[in-house]
Amino acid sequence: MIPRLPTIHSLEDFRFLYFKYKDTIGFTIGIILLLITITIIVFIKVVMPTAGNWFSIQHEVDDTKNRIALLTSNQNKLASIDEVVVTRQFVTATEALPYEKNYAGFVSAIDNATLISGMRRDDYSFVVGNLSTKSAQLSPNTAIPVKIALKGDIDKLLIFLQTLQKTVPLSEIVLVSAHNSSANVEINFFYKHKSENLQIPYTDPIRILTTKNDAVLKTLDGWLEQSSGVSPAITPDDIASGSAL
Amino acid sequence: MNNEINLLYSKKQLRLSQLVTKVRIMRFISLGLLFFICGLSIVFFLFVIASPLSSLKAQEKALLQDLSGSRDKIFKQTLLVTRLNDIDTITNKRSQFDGVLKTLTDTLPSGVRIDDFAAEKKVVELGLSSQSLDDIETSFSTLKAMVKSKNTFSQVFMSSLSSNEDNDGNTTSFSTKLIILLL
Repeated sequence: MIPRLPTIHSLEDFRFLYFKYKDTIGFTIGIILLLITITIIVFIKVVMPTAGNWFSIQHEVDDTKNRIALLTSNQNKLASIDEVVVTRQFVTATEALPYEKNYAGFVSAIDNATLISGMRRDDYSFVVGNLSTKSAQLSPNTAIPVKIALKGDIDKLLIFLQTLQKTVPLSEIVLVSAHNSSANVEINFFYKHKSENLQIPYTDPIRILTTKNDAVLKTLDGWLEQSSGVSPAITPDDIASGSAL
Repeated sequence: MNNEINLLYSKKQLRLSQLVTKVRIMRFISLGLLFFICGLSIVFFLFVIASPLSSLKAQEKALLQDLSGSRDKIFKQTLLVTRLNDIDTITNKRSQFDGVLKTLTDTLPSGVRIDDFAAEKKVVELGLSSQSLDDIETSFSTLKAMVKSKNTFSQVFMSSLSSNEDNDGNTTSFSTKLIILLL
């Protein structure tokens, strides 16, 4: 005969069944299983997500503290930088490595070296190349080649080369060909395009001048001073008297 | 109807009593575990609420706003450092033909004259002349010694050696062409 399951029609029925079975082992085991099930559900649905959330918040707190330390460091570095000095240094650096092709600067450098060395200069030519192509504009470091013909002996040629190496804009002598008292020199004058889309996030450490940068600036300042106080090897009187020829 | 006299615990009742005790203990443990888990969730919740993240974010935002006012200064400083690094690279890597010529004029004997000097990339062609063959030989020996010391030159070759005579057939000077490879 199949035992009939108790039916619950009201709270009284529920109370009756509770008091009837509450002391039985089956009831206690059922309660235990129910408690364990609820514990597991609470652990999976509540504790684990909350703990995960807390740990990720802790990571975020650490990252934020690091960013704050970096931003504070940047703020302190900025406070120590004198904008007037930076502007002056920036002008020096761009004179040495201009943004655009500084033809006037290139000619001035050649004239300066010619004057100091006493070499006589014939015509010279710029090899211009592609002026406005995208590749030329996008290339980070570019150079303009200049070919120049000079007249003078080896000692004057040496002074010419040495002077050019210490003149701005920066240049490099790529070819020298001297025979008897004439010389052909090919020089590359450097320039570098400005990066139009340069993005500098504030969360990057601000770059301050290193010892090497200071040394470079000092060298450039010395070159600029020298070129501003040029003492020509040949004076107008020499030319007039014909002793320069 | 119970067939046993209920004066002492029978074995069956003893086992039953032990089982009941264990079940009661299990019940307390499971209840305790549930309370512990609930307490743990409340503790983690309080940790999350008490986190300093919001105040740190506010501090970070204030610093970023402050730095955004100095954007131009930061930009100029960064460009300056970049440009100086480029200048340093150029000055270190460019050819030093002036230094090579200076070394040659300083080290060659005084009786030797440099007639020709051609330099491109890592090759220097040198034309020397002298009234004394000993000076020419000394020049070559000096250059060989410099190659050995590995300071400036890696190799030196003599490509030609000739003598110049006057109308009477007397040797007036000696000329040589040297090829020097730079380091």
